[in-house]
Amino acid sequence: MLNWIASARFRSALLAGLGVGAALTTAPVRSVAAEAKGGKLILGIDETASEYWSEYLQGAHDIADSLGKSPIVLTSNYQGDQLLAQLGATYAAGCHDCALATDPSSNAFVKAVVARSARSKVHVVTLWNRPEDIHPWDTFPQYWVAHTSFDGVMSGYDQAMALCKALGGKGEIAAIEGVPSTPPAYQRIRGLKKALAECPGLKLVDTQVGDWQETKAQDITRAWLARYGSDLKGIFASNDSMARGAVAALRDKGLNGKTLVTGSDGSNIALEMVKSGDMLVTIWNDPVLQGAVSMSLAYAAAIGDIDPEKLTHAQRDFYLKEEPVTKDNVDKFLALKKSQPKYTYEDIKKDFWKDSAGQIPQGANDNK
Amino acid sequence: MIGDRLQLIRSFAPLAFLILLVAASAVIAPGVLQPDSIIGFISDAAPVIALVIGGTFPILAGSIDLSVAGVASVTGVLVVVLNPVFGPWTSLVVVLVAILFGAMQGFVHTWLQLPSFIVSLATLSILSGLALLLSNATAEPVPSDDILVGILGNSVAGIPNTAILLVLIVAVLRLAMRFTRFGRDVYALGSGERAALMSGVNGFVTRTLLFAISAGCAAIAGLFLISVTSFSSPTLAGNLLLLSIVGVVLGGTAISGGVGGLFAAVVGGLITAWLRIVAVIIGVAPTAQNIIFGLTALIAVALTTERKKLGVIK
Amino acid sequence: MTTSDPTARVAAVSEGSGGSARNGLVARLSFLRNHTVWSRLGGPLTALVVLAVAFQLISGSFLTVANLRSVVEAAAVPAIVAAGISFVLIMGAIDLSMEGVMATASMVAALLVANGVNGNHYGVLGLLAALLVSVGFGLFSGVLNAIMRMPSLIVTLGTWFIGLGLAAVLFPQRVPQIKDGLFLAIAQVRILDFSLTVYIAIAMVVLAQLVLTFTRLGRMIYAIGGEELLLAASGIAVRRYKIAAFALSSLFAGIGSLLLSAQLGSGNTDIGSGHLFPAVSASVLGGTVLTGGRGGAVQSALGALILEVLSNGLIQIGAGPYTRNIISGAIILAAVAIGGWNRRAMLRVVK
Repeated sequence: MLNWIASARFRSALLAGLGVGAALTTAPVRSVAAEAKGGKLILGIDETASEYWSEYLQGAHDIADSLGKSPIVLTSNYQGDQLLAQLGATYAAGCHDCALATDPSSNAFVKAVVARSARSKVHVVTLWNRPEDIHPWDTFPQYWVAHTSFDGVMSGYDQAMALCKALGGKGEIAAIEGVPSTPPAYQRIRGLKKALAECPGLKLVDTQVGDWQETKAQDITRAWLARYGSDLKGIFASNDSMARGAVAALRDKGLNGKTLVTGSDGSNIALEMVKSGDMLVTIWNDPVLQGAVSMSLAYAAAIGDIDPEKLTHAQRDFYLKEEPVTKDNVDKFLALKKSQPKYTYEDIKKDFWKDSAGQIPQGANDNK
Repeated sequence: MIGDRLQLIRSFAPLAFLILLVAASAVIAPGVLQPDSIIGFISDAAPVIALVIGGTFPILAGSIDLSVAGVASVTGVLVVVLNPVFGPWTSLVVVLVAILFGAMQGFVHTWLQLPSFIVSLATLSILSGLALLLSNATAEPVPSDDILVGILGNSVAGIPNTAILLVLIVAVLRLAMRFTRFGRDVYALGSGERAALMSGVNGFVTRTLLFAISAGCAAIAGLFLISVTSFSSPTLAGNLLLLSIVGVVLGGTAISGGVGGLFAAVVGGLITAWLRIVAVIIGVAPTAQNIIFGLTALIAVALTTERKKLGVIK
Repeated sequence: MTTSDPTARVAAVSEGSGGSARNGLVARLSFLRNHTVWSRLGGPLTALVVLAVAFQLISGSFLTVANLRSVVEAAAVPAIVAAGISFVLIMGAIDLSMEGVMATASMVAALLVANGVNGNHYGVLGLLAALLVSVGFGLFSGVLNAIMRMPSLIVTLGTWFIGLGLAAVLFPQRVPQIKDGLFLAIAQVRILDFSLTVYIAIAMVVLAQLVLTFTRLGRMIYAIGGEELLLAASGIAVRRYKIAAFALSSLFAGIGSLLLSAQLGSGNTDIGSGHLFPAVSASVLGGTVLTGGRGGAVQSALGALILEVLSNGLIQIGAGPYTRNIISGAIILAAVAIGGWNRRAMLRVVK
């Protein structure tokens, strides 16, 4: 009897808790005073609890604010089929002139995401993931507006060349790769290898997979330090999180700043570590800009400001600019992080491709 | 007598919960009940439901199979890699390979008397390595000549073929459970293993079959996924494993074994698939979606668990 | 061995609870005599030595002082969380919530101590708050399992998601850097060239073992894993012990999360990622039986050490990144099979 009372009471408490939770967490309705034409703005991201995706959302929100709209944000937790199901639910009631900017979460789901959107006449801009063989102009060309990414090969190359220069052209280095099936992971390693060919004195003694994660990179670095000790002159970490993990392992041995570490993405902590000397270089990718440009392009196609099929290949499959950050120029980027520009649709519309770094070359997404 | 009737009503609790969930969503967003949306929902849910159906079998006998998502991913990769050898019949061959693999796993688990949790955890690790190795960590287009995948990608009279295959699988398994010894043996093992073994149930054969079915369904789930994506990838099924376990339990199948079945699996799969879109339908802030998923799953289990049939709850 | 005689175990436990001081002491002593923790360490220790020697023979660089140190450093946190989850596994239940608990604990701690995002500087109070939140997760799971009678697997799966969700809600758009000197010192202070983390890990594992071996709570945990029905039938209230076991498991996860956060110098929502399944494997490698009744904190910690030797060794011998998963899966399977070989018997129930 007691048991039953306890459980019944608990159940109702749980239900009440859920009600309150739902009320608290329902997205606040932003003021829609002067809502511009067009349908819903939809964003598909991998997770919310990351600096990169927060900044990406910030850029996309800027655009939405300038249009008096409030975007729908879908979170896939890195699962493509979750994204598909959520898109299905979002399009269920019909979606007129909707615009979607999304990371399809892996190469495998790009075509399905585009097809699903095209069926509901939603215009799509994809980020990061695109299989080598399909492009916006040959797959649902009317609705797949564009694909945009950052040049992973260039990132890897710039990091490795910075190592080469700082080490005087010779020494042993080791590399930590991201999730192996994602284009940035293999592109950055390919960039590293391209640089090694130009800097034969650098010797890559090992490559391990750190899955983009700080803690994994830390454990890998520990094992390397035990094996190679101070013979290891540099660690090529494919992103800033893993660079942080590597620096944490080096710090245990008092080797931070002595064994050189590179990263990519230009996150806040990485910039500070470049300034303090714990990291040699990071590559500045601007997620806020990426959010603003991708959202604007999808919206522009949705309301007819641009006609996707009249765009050139370079306008539909392009990299955004990136830049290596070293101790010499880090202050500029730290200042930029503190006061990000507020983007508007009208601004971006003047030239959608102002910050393009050119068309994505053939073979870039091939992991061969 | 009244107790029996209550019991019967109770076993429909998951179904009632599903109906309630869908009805509540429809009040907020009426569009979700349109035929198009329902069909879209079912084809999105098909991989999860297939995994839940497969995952239910070992659990009915008190074991668990954690390797299902790994099997689904490797299936996708193998359909591409083996195409040059087996041509249009590759996907059928791959499903058979998966069934064999599952049988082996069940055999190892019973023969070495190792807990299924750890055996299937180890095979999960092996499978994820294999998927990366075989695919060279690349997403590859699925060959268009593959017959089964081709069929699954289409629909008959507006009904997706994935749904039709799902119904067929459920029918076949249902008949097997109803009219063969196997069905009785599974429940006997689940509700009291020692007693079952002493009364002549062959634990080896039964468990080997259970894991074969589980892997077979996982492979089908993999085919469902590639029929939608038309690309394979080593991480195709990601962490569908967790969703599938949630589904098994939500349908009313007891994790300790002996209680539940196919009907429960289908209902549980549908509830889980709906839970993962419900946050989008009612417009929950993206940061809170995991919390809502966790809480609603807990509430569903709290409301639908049949505690009377279970002795000790672990 | 006591597990082979559950009635004796139950009798010993109930005696300890209700009987006189003398009876309690007798029960305790007989428990110590019968408890074969130390004899059971043989299997895992053998596996450890075999692996280490094999890696040394292949790579020639495994058994160096520097590398062994790095293995120990890397094993510290996995050992803590493996010891923690043992409390629940020995009961025959399971706790999947670890990764969610760790995510929330890391976020709470990083945002309450001096950090790079907000103006808080609660210092030790912040760390305590994080641990309290962790315990809260455990209590929540425990109550749902023991009082609401819901299966632990699904309950803790739910708490896992809730933990990840809470961490995401707390995440302040930018990785919070930890600036609290005391907090960071946990990872930076070194004694005899080991970081404080290692000593904390050893202390936690020993503490867990002491709780399991010498307290009423510990004995009840084994008893619940052995013969819960018998316990219930003899009128012993088991609910609070179950809840306590979940709370302890989450507390250990929280401590592990804080140590990792100190090492990394920042709050991280991914911090628990990839810790759960290795912790369960570690416990099983150490001889914990998932149906309950057997195992121990020291054994599980040894299991964690074995896994760390494995992952470090595979780097030392230069195994390719994709083949690593395959080899480690196969070795875990082999190790568990060999470890459990002598327990094979007809009619033994294995689930």
